Amino acid sequence: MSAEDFSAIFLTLKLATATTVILLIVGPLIAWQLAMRRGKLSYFIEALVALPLVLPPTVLGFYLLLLFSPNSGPGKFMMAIFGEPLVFSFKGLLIASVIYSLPFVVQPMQAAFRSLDKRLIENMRLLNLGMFDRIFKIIIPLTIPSFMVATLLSFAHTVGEFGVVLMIGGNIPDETRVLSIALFDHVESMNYEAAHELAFGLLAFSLVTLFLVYGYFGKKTHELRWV
Amino acid sequence: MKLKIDLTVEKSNWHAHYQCNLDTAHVVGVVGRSGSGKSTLLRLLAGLDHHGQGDLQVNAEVWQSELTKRPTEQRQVAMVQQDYLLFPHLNVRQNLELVQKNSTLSVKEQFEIIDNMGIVSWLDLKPDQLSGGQQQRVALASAMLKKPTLLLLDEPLSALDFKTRHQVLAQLKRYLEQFKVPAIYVSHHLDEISSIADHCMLIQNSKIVLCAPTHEVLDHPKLEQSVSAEQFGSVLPIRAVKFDHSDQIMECQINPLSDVKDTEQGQGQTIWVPIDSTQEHSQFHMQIPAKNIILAREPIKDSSLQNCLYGEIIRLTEESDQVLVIVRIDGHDLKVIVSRRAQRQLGLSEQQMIYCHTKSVSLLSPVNSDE
Repeated sequence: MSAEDFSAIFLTLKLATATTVILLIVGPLIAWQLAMRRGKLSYFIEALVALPLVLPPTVLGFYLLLLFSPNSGPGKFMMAIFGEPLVFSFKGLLIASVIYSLPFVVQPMQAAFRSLDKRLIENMRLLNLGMFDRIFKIIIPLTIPSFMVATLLSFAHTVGEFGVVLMIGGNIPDETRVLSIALFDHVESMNYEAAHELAFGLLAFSLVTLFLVYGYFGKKTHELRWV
Repeated sequence: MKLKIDLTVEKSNWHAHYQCNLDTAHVVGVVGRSGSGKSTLLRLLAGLDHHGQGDLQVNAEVWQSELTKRPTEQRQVAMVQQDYLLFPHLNVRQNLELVQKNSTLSVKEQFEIIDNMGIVSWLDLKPDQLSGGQQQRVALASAMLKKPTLLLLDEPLSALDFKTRHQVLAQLKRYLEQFKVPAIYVSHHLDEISSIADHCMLIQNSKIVLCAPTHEVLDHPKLEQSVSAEQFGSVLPIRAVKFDHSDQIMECQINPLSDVKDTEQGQGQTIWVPIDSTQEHSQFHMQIPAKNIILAREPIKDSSLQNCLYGEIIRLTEESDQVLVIVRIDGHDLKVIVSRRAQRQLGLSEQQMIYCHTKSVSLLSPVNSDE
């Protein structure tokens, strides 16, 4: 495998890790609100979160491209915050990945929170538990298998990203040239042997991840549904 | 505890109104049929039900009014529910620690509670390793450790066996007195209510229809609709006098009401109860279901009936197909239900003296000796 390929693998892992870390903070917060509240607004937010599941990645990429472009109004605002144009940058890719993989964290977490026994939640209130105890002593331990599922799905989905990256990231080595793009390059240049190495690696990785999701942790989420 | 409740719940197909004023209650029993709205009342008191409108005052504090509603977290109540759940991923010790952190009780007092409730040996077990009854005891201990401003108990002993139930009830009673913790106690078991509650609410069709001292409520005709026919009856206080070793049975005496003059040397009538010898000199309440009493103009001889009480009929109330007879025994009212036919054949009338034979009595918790 070439040094460029290694660099693409490293960049992909970096992107997937950063995305997953951000999503594990943002996702459960949104999921908790959606699980606890019922109303028109929460249905709308639920639909919004689920959009990346059905939209072609190119649609999301196209609008993000407009949004990040230094010539647009919002783009100028973003540039003021981040100090550089987000388009064709790692930061831009990270923001896009977070949006793109959001449903893969929110949905399993929402299901997990909703399946928590209401009386346990009431009991936390009766005991007047502090926020730290509620989150780290009760809620997370009770939903840890779902957190594992969400982590794996978000990581794997980010690794498998292509369309969005192509639209807003381009193909800059060490910045936006992730695995799927590198693979695309190899195929374009008819270098099938190098393509195989990356493609088979991705295939094996995805299969193992999904096996864990559906098999091991999936089983646990049912076992740990307690009541 | 001063309790002022005036709460209304409106749901699409369900309406409830709870109104009650108590000035000096300590433990308030709540009696009513399943589904009559007892648990909803407790949830309103805990601030867990969002549908309640109206006023709620506990002691001098306003917990709910038209303008404000104090959140559950700030009410400092503790609640033990019938199907209570301990946090399933934490062992007993960790479950208790969540409460102990904020408890105002000293470490010694906390340990005493855990010890008295007999749960020390389970501290390292997870809830699913405990039986339902054991979980309830842990839940009760946890609620006690909080030393709440108001302890809400919804059938807290339902999963315990008879013997343990009365031990735990005695511990609970002692705790409530020692730490001056007021409580609301929902139960189907009138014996529990009668031994722990000084006041009592009767709930029928989501309304408080009666709110008065316990002995008044337990003797009230309205109660009949709300308890099972088997349970409806009378509660009399008795004292274990002497154990008969040859027959393995305890000789007990009814404690006459203090202002009763017409009993011989101030002693009550004798009743034989199958309890073990260690209970000698203990005080009990004895419940006699109204349907389990046989009335007779002359004492029945040559039968297996062991207990016979003698008293005056003070009231006859005719109901659809039966007659409720109140017989005064050592100053207490004994309720008896007989058929209309039996009443006619016996010629029962008020002020008549009558023999009451009972086949079975059930004993309530021992009364603390200091009472």
